[in-house]
Amino acid sequence: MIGRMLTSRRAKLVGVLVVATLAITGLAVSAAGDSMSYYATPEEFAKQTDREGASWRVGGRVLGDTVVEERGRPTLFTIQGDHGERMDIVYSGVKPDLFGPGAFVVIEGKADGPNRLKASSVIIKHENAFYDASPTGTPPAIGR
Amino acid sequence: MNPGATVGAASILTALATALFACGAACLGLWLHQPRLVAAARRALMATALFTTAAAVTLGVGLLRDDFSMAYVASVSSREMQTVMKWASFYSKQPGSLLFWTWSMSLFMALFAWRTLPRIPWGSAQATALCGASLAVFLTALAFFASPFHVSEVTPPDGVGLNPLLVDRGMLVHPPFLLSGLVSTSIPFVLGMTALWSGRLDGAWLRSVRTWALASWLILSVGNFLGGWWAYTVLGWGGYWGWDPVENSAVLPLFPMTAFVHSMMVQERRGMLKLWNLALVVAAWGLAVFGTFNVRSGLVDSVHSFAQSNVGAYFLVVLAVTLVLALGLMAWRAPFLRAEHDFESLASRESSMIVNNYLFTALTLVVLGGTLFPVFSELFVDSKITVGPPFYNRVAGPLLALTIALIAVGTVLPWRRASNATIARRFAAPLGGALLAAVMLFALGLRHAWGLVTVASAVAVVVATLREYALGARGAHAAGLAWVSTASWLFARDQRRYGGYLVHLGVAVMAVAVVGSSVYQQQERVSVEPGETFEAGGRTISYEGLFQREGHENGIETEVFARLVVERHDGSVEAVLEPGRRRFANFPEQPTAVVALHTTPADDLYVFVQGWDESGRADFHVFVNPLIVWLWIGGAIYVVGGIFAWMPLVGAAPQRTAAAERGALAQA
Repeated sequence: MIGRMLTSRRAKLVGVLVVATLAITGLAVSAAGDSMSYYATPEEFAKQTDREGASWRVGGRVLGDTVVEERGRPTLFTIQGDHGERMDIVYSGVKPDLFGPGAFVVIEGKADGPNRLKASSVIIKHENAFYDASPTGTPPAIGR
Repeated sequence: MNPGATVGAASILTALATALFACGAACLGLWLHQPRLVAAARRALMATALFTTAAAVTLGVGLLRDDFSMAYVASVSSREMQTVMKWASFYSKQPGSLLFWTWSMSLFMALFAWRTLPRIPWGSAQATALCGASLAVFLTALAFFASPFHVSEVTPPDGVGLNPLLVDRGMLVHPPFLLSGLVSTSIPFVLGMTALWSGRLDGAWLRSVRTWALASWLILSVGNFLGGWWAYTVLGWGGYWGWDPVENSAVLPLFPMTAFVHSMMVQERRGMLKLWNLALVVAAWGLAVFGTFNVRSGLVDSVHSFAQSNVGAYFLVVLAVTLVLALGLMAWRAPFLRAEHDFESLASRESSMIVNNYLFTALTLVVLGGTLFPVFSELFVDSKITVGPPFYNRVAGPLLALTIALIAVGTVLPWRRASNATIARRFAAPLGGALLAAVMLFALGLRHAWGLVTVASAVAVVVATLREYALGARGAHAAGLAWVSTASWLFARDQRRYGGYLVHLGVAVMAVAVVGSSVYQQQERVSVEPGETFEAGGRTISYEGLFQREGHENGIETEVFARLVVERHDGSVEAVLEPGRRRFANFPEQPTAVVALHTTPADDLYVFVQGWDESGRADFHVFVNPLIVWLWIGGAIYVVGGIFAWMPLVGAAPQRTAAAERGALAQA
């Protein structure tokens, strides 16, 4: 039965596809190993004992009065998990759209202390529900 | 009582009743051999479309009339929003998007009931029952989990307004196309399941599914292209595809659907891949439902998923039941789905299409695996681990490059078999073109291995496709046709084939643009005072300062722009760019970016303002993205080709026969 199914042409094609599958699997495993990051809440991050060196993705809400900005770009802020655990984020990149107090952010970066993450990227979850924003700040200074 | 909300909620419940009737009456008609019951069930499908349309119109009227007593309207719209942007408000949150999904599904199914069902007497009852059941599933979610017709206890004086990120004209077209594309995969699925249920496993279902499969593939493609274009022009990160879980969910059904529009030709011509083709339509619909579940369940974190809700778990159950039933039917009928022929040679078009299907399957598994990686890792190693864009780029990039190479191979190979001499003759020009392109690009400094393979393959596709057009035109000219008339004659003779070639040309152009924009992208971050200049992409850019606009519509409170003058080498002005940021009255702490773009055939100058200080000193992120405009031009060629390939199939389905339907029911 198997012999009849695997005519020589079919056997050749199956052989090629098996080799290709092995190659793709190897490539995927290697690529996954190089680009993995651990996803955690601030609570889970705080409990980790072996957090140095690995890449982390941590999700939480930006606390309103903690954002330190330089020329409109956030450089330091604190996020809070659902159960109240807080962690500081150091950042030097682009301010993402919708970043602000109450926004749910997903931070990707490396551990920079017990409860501190040096972020390489900050993304904002586009949520179905919005939260009350902090009191309105003054508009940005205008050059002309 | 709110009359609008009452009418909307009643319309949904009535639509649910008619969908259940369609399902029940069709099953009963099949059981009792009663064509009248089946005909009534078909009409019930149209009635369902009528009632869902009534619900959609009711919500639309609520939005237009600023009826903020409806909680949904108050959460997505406001008085100062432009009328046209209220269309985007319609589907901007979960209940509205689910109503849009169900409405569009009911319209597809009504069209299917009107145009196709009377022409497939062998499976009309089964298909009607499946359509009714599918609609009932989504109407149940709409009625009981996510209704947009809840009335607030206190009517607010104004609404919150549209999510700031969605205040863009692109939002008027991208979600409707994407949602309709996902929904449209239901029709090929219904036809496939009908074939399995009825036992009519020859080519009958394929003759009916061609039109729907091509339409679905085309709408899904357009939805994804528009998504990339919107992300590029609005989000401000200089790219068009970020491998976000929700983006992945949108593109996943496109892979099996693309595989299917190729492999159905193998079944039509050679009677092969029968079971596989059914698996592909099941996979496309399953992945569309998976996307709906993924976006609403909070299963994996995404930049733009909806809030977590019970409706996510509901769709997981729907997905599981659908897959179990579909796989059960396939297992039951598998003995009758054997291939009529074996392939005669590895060097044949059918072999190349098998490899094409293999590559699309691998792509699907890689993207699905990457998307669900956090779920699997939590299950097996108790840690939530994600993989980012580098994973997808490293794995999906080579697969896409090989797929493009395979387009060239499949175009030149004949069906069944070819002699070595024929292969050598047909491959000479595409292979020569690819090698020449590779050598030239290497000499010009391109060292990115997969970039080289992709561009060389794209050149091979262009040469192979133009060769096919040239051969056809030469034949037409030899038969006495003027050269200028040959192109229209070719399309008139075999529009599906030549339309397909045009799609391949579009893919080749897009592939070159993707390589150019990803391998050669340049980025600059500069901080400049008003009056200072900086260099980017070989241009001199002068920063003149900031200015502000106020009182804009759509909830925008303030817009601050930076004025940049782009100069050529000779000092003449090439463009004036005004990147900026918007602040919204209802979202004062959540400003959004306004990207400034200057497009030329060679590159895009893409400027994003990051911030500024009291003195007017501003920080800019400048991207120089080569060849981007060709991505959109390639996409347009792809879509035009897709329309050409689809058009002749409309109305080409088998003719209606009432007697045949009675006969089919009697045999059932």
